Amino acid sequence: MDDDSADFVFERVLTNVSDISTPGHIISTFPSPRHSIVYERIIFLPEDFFVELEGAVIEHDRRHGRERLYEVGKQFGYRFTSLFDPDTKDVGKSIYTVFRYLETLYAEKVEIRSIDLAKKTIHIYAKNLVVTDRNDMGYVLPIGGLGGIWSYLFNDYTMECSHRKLSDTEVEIVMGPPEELRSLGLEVMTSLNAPESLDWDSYKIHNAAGHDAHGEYLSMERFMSSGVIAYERGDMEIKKARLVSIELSFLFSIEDRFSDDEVFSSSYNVFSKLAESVGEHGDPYRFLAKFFTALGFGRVMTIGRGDRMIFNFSGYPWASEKQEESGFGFVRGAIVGFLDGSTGAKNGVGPVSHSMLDNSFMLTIEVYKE
Amino acid sequence: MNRISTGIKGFDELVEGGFPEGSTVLVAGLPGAGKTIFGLQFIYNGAMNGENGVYICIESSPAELREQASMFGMDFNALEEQGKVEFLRIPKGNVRFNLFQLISKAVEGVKAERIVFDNIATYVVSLGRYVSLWDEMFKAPEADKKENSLTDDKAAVYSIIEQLKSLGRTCLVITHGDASGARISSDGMSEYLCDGIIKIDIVELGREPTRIIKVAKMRQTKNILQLREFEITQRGIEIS
Repeated sequence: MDDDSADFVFERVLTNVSDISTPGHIISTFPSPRHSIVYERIIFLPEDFFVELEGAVIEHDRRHGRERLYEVGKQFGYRFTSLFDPDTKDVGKSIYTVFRYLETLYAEKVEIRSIDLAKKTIHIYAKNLVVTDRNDMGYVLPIGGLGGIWSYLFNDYTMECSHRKLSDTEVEIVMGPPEELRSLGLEVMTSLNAPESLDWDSYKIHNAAGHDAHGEYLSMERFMSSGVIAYERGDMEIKKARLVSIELSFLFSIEDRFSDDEVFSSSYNVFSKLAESVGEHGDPYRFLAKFFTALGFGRVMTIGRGDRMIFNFSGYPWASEKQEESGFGFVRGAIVGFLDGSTGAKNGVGPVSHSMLDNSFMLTIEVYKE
Repeated sequence: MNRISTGIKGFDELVEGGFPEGSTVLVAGLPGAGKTIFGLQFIYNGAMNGENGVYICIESSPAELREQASMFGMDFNALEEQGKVEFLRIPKGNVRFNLFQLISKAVEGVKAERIVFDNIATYVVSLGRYVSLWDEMFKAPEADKKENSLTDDKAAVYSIIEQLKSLGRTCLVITHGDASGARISSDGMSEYLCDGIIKIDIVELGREPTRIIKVAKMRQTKNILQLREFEITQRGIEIS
């Protein structure tokens, strides 16, 4: 991405479309192709989390792990596209909107090389596609996501996506009917388990920022202006660890479809390393609370209770009532990993509780030194 | 440096054992959070340990405060009879006149080492209403109103806190917190004038309202900045 495009991304897209000045809530609102208003809540996750997750899932299930990852990616892509409310009667217009968005946030460059609407196929070139291929497994999650997007646009869940590496940083991506992809000599994974739809009206209600006067919360904008999170040429990083923005239901899908252990351990590994690279930043509990707030996980405060510490998430990202059954493996693993990495001591996670208060999802996690 | 212990369970360790002697500390929070109980315990525990005190009350009467204190095992009647504590009631109608003469006299009277001023926000509001009524009744000239205006809340806050500091005692100044969260006190000035700031609040943790306390600032002290949960038990405020 050149400097002008990077400035465009930051000044016009990330700041005007995505509000990064409200602590705990990063909201994008923009007109959809059908002129409805899209309301999207975003969270930032370390890219390394996806690397670790891929590794954990494959390790746990060598036979079907890649297919599981692809399936989750596809389900997310399908639901994500429904949020955009694209015009499936004018697929060409919707394709442009979706892929401009992808280029903005997920790759250094995306070019549409060819589209054949009659065959329902599209060839795309992407450079420095995030998420991830750092495990040499291929870009399983984003490829699944693109398959989901294509499925939605054509209202046909049999559509799939595959890719071919051109170099270490470049990839050719093809979407279309699986038989079309195979005819091009591509490896094709298939998934026909369409996701349940989300209630986007409730999503908007439960992800509104609201007001909370209790704590001293920092926004993503403040973290960036302080230099703790660096932004350069389209990449956001903390200590060279790239942060990826995703619509929040992706994390919900991951926690819903993979085991709590897979999610927890992946998050733990990433955040324990992050703690070492972040180094001295004062009280690790308070730093972590501010960091989570900046990443869009709601307004987070830490409160001491005897010899335990409580992490209180006010306005935690909400996707579905099914979340009440979640183990919240990502944040649990992140908290324990970061504290273990910062303090050198072993920390444990105690009771997790949640509730809905004034339409905000509240999550409380208790930690203690073992 | 001498440190003045509050005697409140779990609090003194947040401030290296106590407030620096002679410091003026702001206690801010929304209604019902526990500010007055904090002040009562500060005075009571001091008096029980040979450090007499004056409790200046504007919002509540001395009788109401004694009754509130008795719910937590604090018998102020006995301490008052022994000349160790005085409740100084500031009637709203007299807020303009010789306030600090009254305070000084009370402090000297019991040889107080500790003072609590409860509540500076209420006092300033009362002052403003009284002066408005006074000016209206006596039709003060506009020029005089502006030059001598005591309805300037910030000037009033500055005056009160500076005069309290001049007494050289360890003092708690209680005030309302700012509901918007944009500043600590409702007047937005007190936190800059005081040597220390304690924030007391109620938050929702899960389904449970929870009281929290934080030492946001304390000069000459390596204070613990972490929010701490506390309870109000039969013995008053206790920090776990």
